[in-house]
Amino acid sequence: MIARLRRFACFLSLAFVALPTRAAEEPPVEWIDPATGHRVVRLSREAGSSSFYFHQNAYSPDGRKVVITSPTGVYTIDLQSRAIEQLVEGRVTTILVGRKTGDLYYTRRENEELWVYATNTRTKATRKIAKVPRGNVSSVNADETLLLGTYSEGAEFAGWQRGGATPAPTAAAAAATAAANPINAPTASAAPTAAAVTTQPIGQAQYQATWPDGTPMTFADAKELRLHEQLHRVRAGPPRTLFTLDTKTGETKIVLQQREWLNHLQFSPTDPQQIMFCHEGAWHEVDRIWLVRTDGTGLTKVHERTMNMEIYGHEFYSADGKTIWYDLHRPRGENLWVAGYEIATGKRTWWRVPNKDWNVHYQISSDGRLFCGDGSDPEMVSYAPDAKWIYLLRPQRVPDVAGIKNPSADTLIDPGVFQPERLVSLAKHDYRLEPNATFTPDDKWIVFRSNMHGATHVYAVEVAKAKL
Amino acid sequence: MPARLRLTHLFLSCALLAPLHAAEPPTEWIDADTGHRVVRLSREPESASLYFHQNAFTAEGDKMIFSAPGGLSTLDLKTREIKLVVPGFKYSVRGSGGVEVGHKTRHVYYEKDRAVWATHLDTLASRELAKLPPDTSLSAINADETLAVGVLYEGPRPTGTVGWPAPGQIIRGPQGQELPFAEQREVLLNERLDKRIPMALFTVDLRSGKVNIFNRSTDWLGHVQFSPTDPGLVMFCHEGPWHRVDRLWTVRVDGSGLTKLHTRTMNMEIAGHEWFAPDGKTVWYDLQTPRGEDFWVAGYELATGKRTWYHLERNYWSVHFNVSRDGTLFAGDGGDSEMVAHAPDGKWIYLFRPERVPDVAGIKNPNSGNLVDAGVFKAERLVNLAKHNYTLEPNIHFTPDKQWIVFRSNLHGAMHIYAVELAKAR
Repeated sequence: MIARLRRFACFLSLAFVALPTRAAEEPPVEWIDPATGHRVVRLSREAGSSSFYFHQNAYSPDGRKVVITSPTGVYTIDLQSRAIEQLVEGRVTTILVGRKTGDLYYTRRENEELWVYATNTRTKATRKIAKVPRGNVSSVNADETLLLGTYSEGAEFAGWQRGGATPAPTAAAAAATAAANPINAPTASAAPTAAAVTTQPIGQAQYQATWPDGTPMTFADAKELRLHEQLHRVRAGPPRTLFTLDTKTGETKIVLQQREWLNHLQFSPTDPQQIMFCHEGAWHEVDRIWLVRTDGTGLTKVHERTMNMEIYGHEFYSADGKTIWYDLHRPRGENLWVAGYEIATGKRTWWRVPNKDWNVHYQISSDGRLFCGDGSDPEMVSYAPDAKWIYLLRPQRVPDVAGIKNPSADTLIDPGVFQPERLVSLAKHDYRLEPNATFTPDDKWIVFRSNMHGATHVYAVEVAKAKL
Repeated sequence: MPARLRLTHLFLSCALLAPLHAAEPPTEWIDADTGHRVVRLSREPESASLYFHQNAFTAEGDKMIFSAPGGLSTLDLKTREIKLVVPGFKYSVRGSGGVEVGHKTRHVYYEKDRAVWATHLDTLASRELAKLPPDTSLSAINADETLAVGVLYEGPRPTGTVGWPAPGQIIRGPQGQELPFAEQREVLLNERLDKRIPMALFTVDLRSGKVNIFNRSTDWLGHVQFSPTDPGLVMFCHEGPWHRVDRLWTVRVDGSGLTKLHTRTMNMEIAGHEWFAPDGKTVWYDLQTPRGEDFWVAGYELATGKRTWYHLERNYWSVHFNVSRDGTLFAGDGGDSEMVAHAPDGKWIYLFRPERVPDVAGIKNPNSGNLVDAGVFKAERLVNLAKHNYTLEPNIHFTPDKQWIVFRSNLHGAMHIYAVELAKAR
């Protein structure tokens, strides 16, 4: 969120600028990255196409198709033939592809009502699932019996990125809502219409603030301040509710209510009753990552901060649902890890990330052996001067020296390091759009979105080096 | 300790190289890579400055004690005049105890003939103060110079080359493979620890000679230090493989207040080379989370339990760190590529300026007062030690006026004592 929210406000203008100037030049369909020796293919054809946010499942259960969005709707791409087929027409907010049925779940606003739909990635058959009575939904559980959402007892506070000083114009309000529920933001915003862009003068939703002595804060500091203010607004207001919505009956059930900014909702990919959510806010002031069962039991704080300015987030489940992984900084921007928490045992495994190779998002392969990341630019939280790459990250455990074990070794954090391999140069990519890399289900490719050739497109890079 | 002990066995062979460099080393130069002035303080080859946490300076800050081939000597920090004060005293660069300048008076304390002796640095008046218990040695002198401290065995001492392979001995790993030398040492240290030999700490009253035995233990006790300001506070360590033991402890001389200073949360997390800040309020130590990967100088404030950790890059890792009297600057003696950090470019004397990681946008975590306060070391290279052989560890000290850093080095062949000026040469 740190970097992502910071960028989000600028994102609409970027897409707008990119389209007219570069659309004429068709980006390459396939090339071998000269810096890495890996084959890269462009999967999308329509400018403005985008892959999903890093933890939204975009793959059909048979592993053959990936779902993407574009300005004209939602599409499937066959990973073998690269054939593209339209799945949904028009603008919707995608949630994820169900792991059981292969249905794409999404929401669509109809008049004043928010409806959940599911369209099958194979048959394209569409079902109208349920009306969302309040708030929003943003995850589907493993057996696709439940949706997960939040609502507030009070009215949402528009324009919190600016400190709420002025009433927000329509598009800015939409951006604010989307940013307040970032799961939906990438897909909802990845393909803005030209009209939406023109009504969104950039700068409106930018984070600006001043220190008490009147000097202006940096963009990053201002963003943290606005997150902080919004958090305290939320805490001062009525409780927020985490709820499930039954996909068969439309019945809602309250999981929990907290005076916290509930966000980043994720169901386990394997355990239908397991929920992960976050406390949003300035990352260093919140205890961000939480687990809870659908019946409200088992509320668990996944990480305990021991250091000032220790931050953690961008959490996601491993494919088998057993482990939570997250980006961990101890302290922020200075000492970087991908940290794992095994839900059943509490066992922790931390992989150290070289400062020069920090990634705004990480993902893990289906077999759990490899990680990938989408890199970062020099302005982001780690200030890495040369991290604009798609990365493959090979974990390597730090062994017990001479085979001598500490008597408490099994209860301690198991540390290791990532050996990074660069797969795609993103030197020409503008990180106001975050690439969000994910492994294909066969772990042979990594899919990401990029504007490195101008308009946003969906690309894939082969994990194996190209044979020349 | 892993790096230090691992390398010290090679030290003697290094000294043998000295004749190849028989040319007189320069007395003063400006380091071409750093722009800092370096001066040679010692005149005779095989002169050594003290181990990093041994107090070498008078309270007034005018004189420094060091070891010359002829015995303990003083260096006048203004005139650079050298005077032999304890003829015949043999100092071991492998040791970490046995010599200390008093924190109050102008005496140097040392061990001689199984007793603690003191010599006045100006008058050279010398006297025996108290006998040491049998089979023990002096570790340190307390803040008001009334007590000496050391370790003792309650029963037979371990015999042989403790922690070092005997000649011809090869240590193998679980799969029967011959282990790298450093790991052989870890195995032997582990075997010694596993013997659980009864030990204790003791003090000797320097006025009455009374011996007080405390902190009886079957842990392997070592590295005993007295607080520079609190006469009753002792710091000691549990020796053994650093990743296995809880190394850092304090205890009061009456045996009360036993405190573990650092609790490990990560496998292969190691902590060591601990020392007291000159004001006695904070204990600083080398912390690696995990070993060889992630480097800190960690501080623990004794009165409050408050922790401050300064992060440093691999190349800046130093086998020892030290802090200036006013607590504002740190220094390190670097390390070579075979040492625990495996730093490709770590052979330097470093000056470290600590920088706190600020609360972003001034927003404080509600629990921030109870959290580790994090910062980073901004490093400046002071002396290029490319030609130094790290079988001798440089062991930096700040001079009391914070203008110079003193270290020992073989960069010109034989061991000498050098000082580098913190300010850049004009």
